[in-house]
This record gives sequence, structure tokens and C-alpha cells, in this order.
Amino acid sequence: MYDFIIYGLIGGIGLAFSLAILGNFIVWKRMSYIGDSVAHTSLLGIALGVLTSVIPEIMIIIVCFLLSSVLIVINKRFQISKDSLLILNTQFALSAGFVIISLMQNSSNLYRYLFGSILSIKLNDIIIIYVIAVLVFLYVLSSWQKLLLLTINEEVAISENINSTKHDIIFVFVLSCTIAFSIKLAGVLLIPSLSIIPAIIAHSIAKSPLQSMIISFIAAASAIITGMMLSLYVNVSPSALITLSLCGFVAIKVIYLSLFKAK
Amino acid sequence: MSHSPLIQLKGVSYIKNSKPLLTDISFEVRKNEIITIVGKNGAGKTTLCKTLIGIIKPTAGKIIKQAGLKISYIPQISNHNVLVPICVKDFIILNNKKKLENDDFQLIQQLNLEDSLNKLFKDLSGGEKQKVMLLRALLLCPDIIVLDEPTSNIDFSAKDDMYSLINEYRGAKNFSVIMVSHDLHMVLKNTGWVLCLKDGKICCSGIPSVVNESEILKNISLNYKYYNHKD
Repeated sequence: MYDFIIYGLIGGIGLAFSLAILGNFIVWKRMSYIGDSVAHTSLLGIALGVLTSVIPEIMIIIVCFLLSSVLIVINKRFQISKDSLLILNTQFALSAGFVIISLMQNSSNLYRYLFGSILSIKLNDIIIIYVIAVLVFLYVLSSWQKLLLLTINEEVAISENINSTKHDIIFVFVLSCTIAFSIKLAGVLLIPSLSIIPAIIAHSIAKSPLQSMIISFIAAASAIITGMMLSLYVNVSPSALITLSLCGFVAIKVIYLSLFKAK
Repeated sequence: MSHSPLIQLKGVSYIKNSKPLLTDISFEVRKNEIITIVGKNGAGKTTLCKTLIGIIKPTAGKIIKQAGLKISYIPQISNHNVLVPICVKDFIILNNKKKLENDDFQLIQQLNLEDSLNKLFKDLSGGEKQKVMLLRALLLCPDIIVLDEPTSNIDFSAKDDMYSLINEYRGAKNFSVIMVSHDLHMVLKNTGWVLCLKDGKICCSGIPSVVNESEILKNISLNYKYYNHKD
């Protein structure tokens, strides 16, 4: 098998691991738009990175973290719903990103970031993806109980001296880092699918939070393998096929549950 | 042994969007005390609970808490996120202990939750969820438990059992209870101190026998007829 396919598979599975863990918390917290929001904010980060000659990934982390932290503070202070704020953020970042990119002379790299290029992944990208995966794992492991309680009932968690704002900001920071370094692989438009759809597949099947993450990871990794293998036979971007595979898994789950319930 | 209050509220006010939700609230909570907050819907009962816990920061006044004070909060049932697939036996020790100990099973039995331990928390009925929240709060061994309408969603016969259980454990474990309740007949039977709120202000307070009951009744529309009918 070609090296670029093996690199793509290894990198994709590492990314599936991080996004499956974070994606479950995103779905449980009813913040499904945050994947979209951070991914689109990263477009503004890329544009600013190119404009200021700073490494785009670093600029993505800074911009995503700053904007998301502002949203968390607004959400807590003014009690505007999270989904409304996330859409506001998405639209602002997307528009501002496009304005900056349009004003620039060379925007040829934009499509690479929009749709991702899993097959152009290099060894150093794989190392970064796995370092991020280990960091995500260690973060969730160290805060597991607190994160779960905050998700189930934030007020109960606060009464037990858990700092919800601090944990929300750390969560967004970890998510921003993961998305910043996955953007080349999955692209701005497909990262939300890799974080949200696997968690949707696990929902109502899993009997524990850990089981939910394992199911999500297996679903995401299987979709990456399926999507990449399919792309070898049809000349279509693997990222789109990965998302279609995930949607296919959702359909299989719905049919299975309907039949199971019908019994 | 220190007899200083666990929590002291001094002139606490909270204004949101130019509307005063709490005005000049002062009282204190001592060890092993049971305080019930009563009042009409919108009187500020839940806001007061959240202010005590630290969820809401008062816009004026002071809340002085004893160092290292452990508070357990049982919110109204509708606040729980039911998307997390966590089973009851994992949820009740969440952020507390590694596993259930032998003593804990007695409490589980008293709350009739033996059969629910392996069920998912999200699949429980409203009343069962409320019992699980009480169980979790008791397992935390707090200094104060704050209950916001603990017996809503619980059938009438189980309400009395729940209040008795809270009282029994309060005596044994030496914690204080602050609760919001609409069950006036049970409030007067089980509480040590009644705090009646009207439009965010304390309109009357004291021990149930001393507080002018009619004053309380005037301010609680819900159980007025029932209370009269009962006696």
C-alpha cells in the first residue's frame, strides 16, 4: 500500500481518538455548534496567520481560544443561549476570515484548509496528532469526574467548589488545539462531522460515558478507513467520503434500533 | 467546640436587569439546623438558594462562610442534563468516593433505590431522580444540604418518608438543611426555622410555633386551602 495512505490512516485514527473524546462532551453539553464555530473561527486564524506570517496553527489556537473564551464569559454573564452565541461567532469568524483572505494576493491554500487533504499528511503531522491525542486523553482523565458532574448539572458542580468557567475555558483551549492541528487533515468543513456524528452514533447505545467514547472512536476510525479505501476506487476527496460513511453508520444505527424496538 | 454560624448573610441583595430579585436578606445558618424557605412563585426562593451556594454573586451585602464548608445542593428536577449515559451507582459517588461502602447500602435501602442502582440516571422518573440526588448529597457528608423543592415529583406517601429520612440523617450526621418547599403542613412539622419571602424580601421568619402562621399562609397561595382543610 502507498505510504501516503498508511500515513493518512494512522493520522486519521489519532484524530478520531481526540475528536471522539471531545465530541461526546460537546454533544452532552448541547454545544454541537461549537465544532462548527471553532472550525470556522480557525479560518479567521489561518487568514490572520498568513497575513502576519505567523504559523497558521498557532494563530488558529490564539484566535479560537480568545473568541471562545469571550463567548463563555458572555454566556455566563448575560445568559444568552450557547447555540445563538456559537452561530454569532461562526458567522463573524467566517465573514472576517473571507474578507481578509479576499484582500490577500495569494489565497490558493484556502481550499486545502477548507476541505482538508488527508493524503498529504507527513510524518511530523502524525507526531503532532498523537501528541495532541495524548494531551486530550490526559486532560480528560485528570478532570473526568469534574467534567462529568459539570455536564450533568453545572449548578451542583459549582456548589461542590468546581470552577465551571475555568473548566469551560480549558475545554475550549484543548478543543482549539485539537482542531488547529487537525485542520490540514479534515478541513474546516469536515471537522464538525468528525467530532459530532460519532457521538450521535454512540448516543442511546452506550451504557456509560466511557462506553460512549469507545463506540464513538470505533465509529470515527471505521469511517476514516472506509472513506479512505473508497477514495482509492472513486476519484473523490476522502474527507467527504469519511463524512458520508459516518452518515451511513447513523442510518444503520437508526434502522437497527427501529427493528430492535419493533420486536 | 465552635458555635459560630456556618453561613452568615448580611444585607444580601441581588439585582438583575434593574429588577431587585433579593433585597437586604440577613440570616444565619447554624450547625444541625433546619431552615425552610417559603413563598409564592417568583418570591426569590431559588435565587436565595443559588446565592447561598455561590452560583449567583450578590450585588450588595456579604455572605460569610466558615472555612472549608462543604455544601451539597439538590436543584429542581428539571435542571439535570439527561444526555450523559451514566448509571445511578456511578453517579452517586461521582466527584466523591471510589466505591460504595457497606454503610451506604442501608441508606440506599431506606430510599428504595436498590433496584435503580444499575439503571441509567436519565431513564429514572422525576421522583426517583430526586431521591438519587438526595442519596448523592447524603453520601457527600456535607455540613449543609440545600434542597430546592425536594419533594416535587414525589408521591404523597413518599414525601413524609423523605422528610423523616432527611431529619434522621441530619441528627446522625450533624449537618444543617436549608430547603425550599411548598408543602406547608410538612414544613411546619419538620422545620426548626421558617423564612418567608415576598418579592425578594424576608416578610417574616422564626420558629414555626412563634411565627404568625396566618402571615405565612397569606404569602403562600398554593397550600392555603389544603392546609386549612387538613386541620
